[in-house]
Amino acid sequence: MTLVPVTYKGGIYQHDIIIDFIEDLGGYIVQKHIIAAEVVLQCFVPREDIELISRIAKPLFGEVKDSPLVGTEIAVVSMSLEIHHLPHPSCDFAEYARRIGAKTNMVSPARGPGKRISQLSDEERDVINEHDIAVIAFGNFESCIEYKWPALRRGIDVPIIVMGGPDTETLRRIIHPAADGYVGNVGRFMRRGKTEEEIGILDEIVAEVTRVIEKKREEIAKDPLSVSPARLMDLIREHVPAIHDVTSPLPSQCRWRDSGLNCRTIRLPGTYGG
Amino acid sequence: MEGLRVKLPYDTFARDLRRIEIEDGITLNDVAKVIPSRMRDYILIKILPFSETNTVV
Repeated sequence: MTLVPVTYKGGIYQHDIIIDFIEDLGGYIVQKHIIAAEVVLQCFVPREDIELISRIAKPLFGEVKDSPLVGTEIAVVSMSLEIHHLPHPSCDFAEYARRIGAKTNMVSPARGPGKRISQLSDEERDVINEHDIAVIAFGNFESCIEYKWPALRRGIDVPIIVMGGPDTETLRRIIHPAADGYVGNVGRFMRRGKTEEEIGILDEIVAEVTRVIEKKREEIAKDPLSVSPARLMDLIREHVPAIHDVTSPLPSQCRWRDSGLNCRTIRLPGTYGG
Repeated sequence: MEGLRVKLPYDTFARDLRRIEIEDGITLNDVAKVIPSRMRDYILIKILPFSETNTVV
């Protein structure tokens, strides 16, 4: 039985029927979002049963879509956390990828900026290596990318996709050793990407990420995992009840000053970590 | 894709996670590595491939 990642979108009415049905078929619900009267389920279902689920969902006005990024964790590496580098291209992509089921984390090297001095620390490298794929968001300058690339990729053993200001062909030419994917014409810009053209570029990045992820999935399929991650997630939910109380990254303690300006601390009920 | 990130403190919960029985006496520790994550105090579970464990559950 091959499980494939899909997204179910439908009304809240009787959505538990779909959840039970997916679980009965041997699938797993990875994430469930309830937004107003709509339910979005990100799940793994048997490949041969997708049509059956679509048929069951039709009277409930639900639809099932392929969602290859469900269950993947992407590191979006931005050169710094400052306004100079960070917000728009990196956040636009991070948010866009989250909408289609990926988990994205922003990683920003402490010494990211600077053509000759940029580098990656040991901790930053390890954090990136914990992800399935890294998307490195470079700036606009060709020579800068060419200089920075060897230092920033050192030690990273997950597939890397490079996005930057120059066009894709130029990126291919200047990047040595080669990356796993390239998306050009997406350098720094100082506004949210709202136009059709900008959203088209986000689609291009998603397509490139999907291509690399599919390639990685094929490689994993040659030597399959001993247990499916989705099944393990289900087991952890069943055996470790504390996981239901996790509010991370919300802190486990809350501090405030009361009306008498006394500092008070409270541990949030049932929170771990933070 | 090849593992899980559990957002619980490693010191408190790692032992409980390792003991989880998956099927027929096979525990999580037999098919995966439970290691501390570099991100906060999370736990990282890396699932081992078939070639290393000789089991698929």
